[in-house]
Amino acid sequence: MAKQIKAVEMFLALSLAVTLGACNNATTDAGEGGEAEVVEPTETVNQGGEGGEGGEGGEGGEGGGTGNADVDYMTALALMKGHLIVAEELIEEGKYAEAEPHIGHPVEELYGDVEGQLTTRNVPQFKAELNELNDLAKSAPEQPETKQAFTEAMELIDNAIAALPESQRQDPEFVLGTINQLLKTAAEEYEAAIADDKFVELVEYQDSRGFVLYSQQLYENIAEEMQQERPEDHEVISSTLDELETVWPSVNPPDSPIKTPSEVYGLVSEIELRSS
Amino acid sequence: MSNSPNYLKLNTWNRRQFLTWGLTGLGMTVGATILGTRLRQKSALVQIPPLPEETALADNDFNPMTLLRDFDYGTLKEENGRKIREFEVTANSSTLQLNSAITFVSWNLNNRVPGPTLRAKEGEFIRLIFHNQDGHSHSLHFHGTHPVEMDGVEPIRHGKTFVYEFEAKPYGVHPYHCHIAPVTRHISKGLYGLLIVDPPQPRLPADEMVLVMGGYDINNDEHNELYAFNGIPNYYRDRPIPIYQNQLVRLYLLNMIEFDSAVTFHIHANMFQVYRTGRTMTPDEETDVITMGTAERHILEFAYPYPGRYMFHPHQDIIAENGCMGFFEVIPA
Repeated sequence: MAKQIKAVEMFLALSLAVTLGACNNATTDAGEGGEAEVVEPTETVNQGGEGGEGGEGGEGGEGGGTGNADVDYMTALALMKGHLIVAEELIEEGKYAEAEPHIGHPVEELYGDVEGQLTTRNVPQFKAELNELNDLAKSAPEQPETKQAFTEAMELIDNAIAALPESQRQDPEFVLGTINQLLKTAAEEYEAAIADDKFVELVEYQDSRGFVLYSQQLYENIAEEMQQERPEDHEVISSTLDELETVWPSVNPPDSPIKTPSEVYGLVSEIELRSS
Repeated sequence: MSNSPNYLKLNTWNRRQFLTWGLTGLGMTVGATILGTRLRQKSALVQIPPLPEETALADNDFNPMTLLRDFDYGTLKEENGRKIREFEVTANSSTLQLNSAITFVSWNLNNRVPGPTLRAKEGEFIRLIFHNQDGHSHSLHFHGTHPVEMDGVEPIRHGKTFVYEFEAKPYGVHPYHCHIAPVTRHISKGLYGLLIVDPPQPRLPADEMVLVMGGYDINNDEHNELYAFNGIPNYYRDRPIPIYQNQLVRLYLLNMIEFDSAVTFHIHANMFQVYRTGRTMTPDEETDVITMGTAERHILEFAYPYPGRYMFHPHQDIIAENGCMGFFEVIPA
């Protein structure tokens, strides 16, 4: 069975079709029926660290396509934190092999997303340190040098986050923007962990847990202000985050999913609706 | 369904139909298309049998029988006097029913494994709009020649879009695949496909099809438990590919099996001509077995002189017996 097309994906697809003037499979056979289709030049945006021309994913696209460079930057770093949170849990249980992919993800999947931004924000590059940690996690996971490299990696990510002004890191709108990106990614990962109502992919279950745990941590930074300024939104967001957290009772998945991917998407949408 | 550009028009015909390639641009019967005057070759006949009924799989989003001859020519556009062939793909996860018992979470493009068979002509400018809707970061790395910014090794995070743009060169058969580590996992879960770059002068008309060999590591132990041609294990074993007797078949063959070093593709009861990497217009060799490491690809050409049902498979027989097995059903002309 295919995954269901979510409303937000439909919206994204439509907005992209409009934005890019693209229409997949709508072939124009130039020369057979006249002129080739002429389109306006596609507006493209250089993505930091990605080189070349990268068109962002339409208006209000999912994930990093927020159009807000600060939220995108924070989201990538927050995803790194989420990965390392579950890696740490697994290391504490002595599950070094299970921890290894989560140690790899920050440098393999996310660093390229912030590489250019680090220079712009005068933050020292730390790819070499992430690579060294990844190498050690594979070759000497139980050695003290690996633990030291892990601690250093966490500090370097925190340092990159601290490059954002404190006022921004405490700003509800900014933090909720980041949380929404984290939770959407978590929902995708959670769905990709399940087949036939069973957990079949441990890595994706653990990924999504890490993102939800870090979302909770981020929300704590703004909870007090939300309670004072937006009590109704705070109540819904806070209780929904708590409900979401029950889906991942531990770093090891439950025997069967506590909630379906659709239910998780629903909870994530509730938080998003209350965020603006 | 394929959507041929004007430089290469091919229509599928049943036994009562045939494709005429010509130089004149004359009108034809409904559905037939004449090549433009740029072609410099004599008329030829390509006959493709009608597809068997009931080829679709209820539990999967794509049909390997139609995927076989499905070439995506994208959308031809013109910008500032330059022709651009534009493609659009979306990476996401979806479940594949590999057999009646095994449901596998695949990462793929456009809900199919392999991804779309993209096709352009050498020298054309390609634009590929890549959306990533999966939770993991992904990328598309194309084999072939292009600038470093377009090399597809940088991660494109969930929810982002990246536009790859490069000139289609050199002509040949070029794999594309996700290049995010662990690459073994990103590829074996399904993020791969073919870009065919046609030569300036077209090859002879033929019944063209794509076969991509892939492996599935079901339990993440870095060993494949299942293998497949075009995504679904044993699909063409249970549903042979119909071809006509004496019809030239052009096979675009790619090995994207991770964890196993190499496979030796073999067709039964016949020989084939090899155009290595699709980089030649004349055959490099003739054989009935060819060993291919991961990411190696070739064009193979053959025609079956005798009707019947003929196996094709890698000659690492354990791989064949775990899903990488198929048949050609040669129908009397």
